[in-house]
Amino acid sequence: MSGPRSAADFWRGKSVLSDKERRDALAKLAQARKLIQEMRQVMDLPQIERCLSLADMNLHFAQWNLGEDVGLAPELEEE
Amino acid sequence: MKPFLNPKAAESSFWNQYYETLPREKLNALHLVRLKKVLRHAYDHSPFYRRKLDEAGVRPEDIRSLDDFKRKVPLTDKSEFLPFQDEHPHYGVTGALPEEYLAMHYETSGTTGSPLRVPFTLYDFERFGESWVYGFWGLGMRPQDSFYFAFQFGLFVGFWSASQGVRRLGAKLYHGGGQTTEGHIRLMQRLRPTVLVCTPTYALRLAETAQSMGVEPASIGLKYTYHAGEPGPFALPALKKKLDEAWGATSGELLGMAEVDSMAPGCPLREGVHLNETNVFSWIRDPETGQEVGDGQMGENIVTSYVNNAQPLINYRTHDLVERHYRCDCGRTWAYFRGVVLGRTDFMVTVRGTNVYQSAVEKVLGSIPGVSHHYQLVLSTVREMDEMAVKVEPEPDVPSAKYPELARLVEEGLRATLKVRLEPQIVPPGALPRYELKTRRIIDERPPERRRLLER
Repeated sequence: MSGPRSAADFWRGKSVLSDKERRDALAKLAQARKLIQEMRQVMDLPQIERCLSLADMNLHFAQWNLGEDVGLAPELEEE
Repeated sequence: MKPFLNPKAAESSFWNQYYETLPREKLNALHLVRLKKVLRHAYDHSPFYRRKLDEAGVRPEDIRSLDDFKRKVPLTDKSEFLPFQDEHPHYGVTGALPEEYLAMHYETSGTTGSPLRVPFTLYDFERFGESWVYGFWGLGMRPQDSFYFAFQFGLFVGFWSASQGVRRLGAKLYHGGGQTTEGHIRLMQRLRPTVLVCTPTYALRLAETAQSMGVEPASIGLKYTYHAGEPGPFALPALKKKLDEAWGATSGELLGMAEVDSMAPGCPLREGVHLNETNVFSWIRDPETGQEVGDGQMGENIVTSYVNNAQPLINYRTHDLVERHYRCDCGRTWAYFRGVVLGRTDFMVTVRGTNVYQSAVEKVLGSIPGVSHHYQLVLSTVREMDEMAVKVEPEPDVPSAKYPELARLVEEGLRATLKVRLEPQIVPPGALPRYELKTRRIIDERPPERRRLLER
């Protein structure tokens, strides 16, 4: 998705990530989180539940760093 | 075997080019959305903030613009947190999350009095550590690098977060731990790290010690040295030259604040730092008028953190005086602090990585029987390290035979409270100069190039 670019490109408002690429990435992240959340609700092995929780945390991190309007942290998001 | 990073990501000169170069209007729009969430969380979950905002007559829903946020939401200061934490340990009133979410506990050095207790969730600490990576990556460090940490770990968050940053980067980490300076050199000779992380003055001390051991520092093979905890190479050009020459490597710097975030990683152009705007919102306030200052002007850095959800920090006074710019030739749009921190709104100096406040020293001296209120703090440079002597006049009725004992009491009192060893010097009554107006307590004998801009 990226590569070295000159400073001048930035001032022209260009980004290596197009709007479409960003939207696609965010849609996939949301899908992945939904899948993980479904698994968490039925998982009765604490170890696996914790693995899923940490995966969800990192996916939230990716959403946040792509500028998505998400809660401050997974635990602070509305159900 | 799969590549560690996909080739396109590996080629990037930015850690997150999308966010690091986001146009200002988009950054500000995101900040407004996120600041409202911070306010709502703090108001709903922290009794401290609910009371503070209620007293100011502000509700989270009243904030509709960044100007609203800056003007209506009251400032907070460390001194407000301390009495609450003493009454309700650890964070009974100031905290905002239940205990099961807390993963880390750190403390500030306590040099202004009691240490501030700082809780983090695991996620917030991940993000705290991530701040370092923007600086590491921007300067050229990659997952193939190996980092040597030349310090001990304790309740101070700074280098824990750096360690977390190395983990996020995906590089190898050597914790040097509690070695002697010579021990660090021997370990580095054997392990051959490519990056050294420590305070800048300690990096110079290590280089000097290596030479005294007959080891040419450059022979260790470092490519980079990276620093925090004291004014570093991007604040002090002479120090940058010295560090680079001492190790034959490229030095870098991060501006952090223990209770907030490793908030401003170094700019790759090496003359300042960029605020990590994924973690922190900041505006610059004229300490005299309380009004926001414009681009390129100097004022106090006021921050609100998105990564202190366990104990929110909102419109928090850092007391750091910075000169903020919104454009930088490196291409980043994140707020740029040229020269890092140019001075302090309070009287504070940093000795061996520990912030020493004049008021804290005064408090210790005032508690020791036989010590008068005449004292002076003298800063100097000894073997590339900042040192501070505390010159003290005894009360006139203290016999000179008791001076050594008095010196011992002063040294012990300062060390117990400030967690740093300062050299006490007992001078005869009347030896220190008297001033008619403002008493000059701090005498800075360090070369100008070792001082922050406003302290020169």
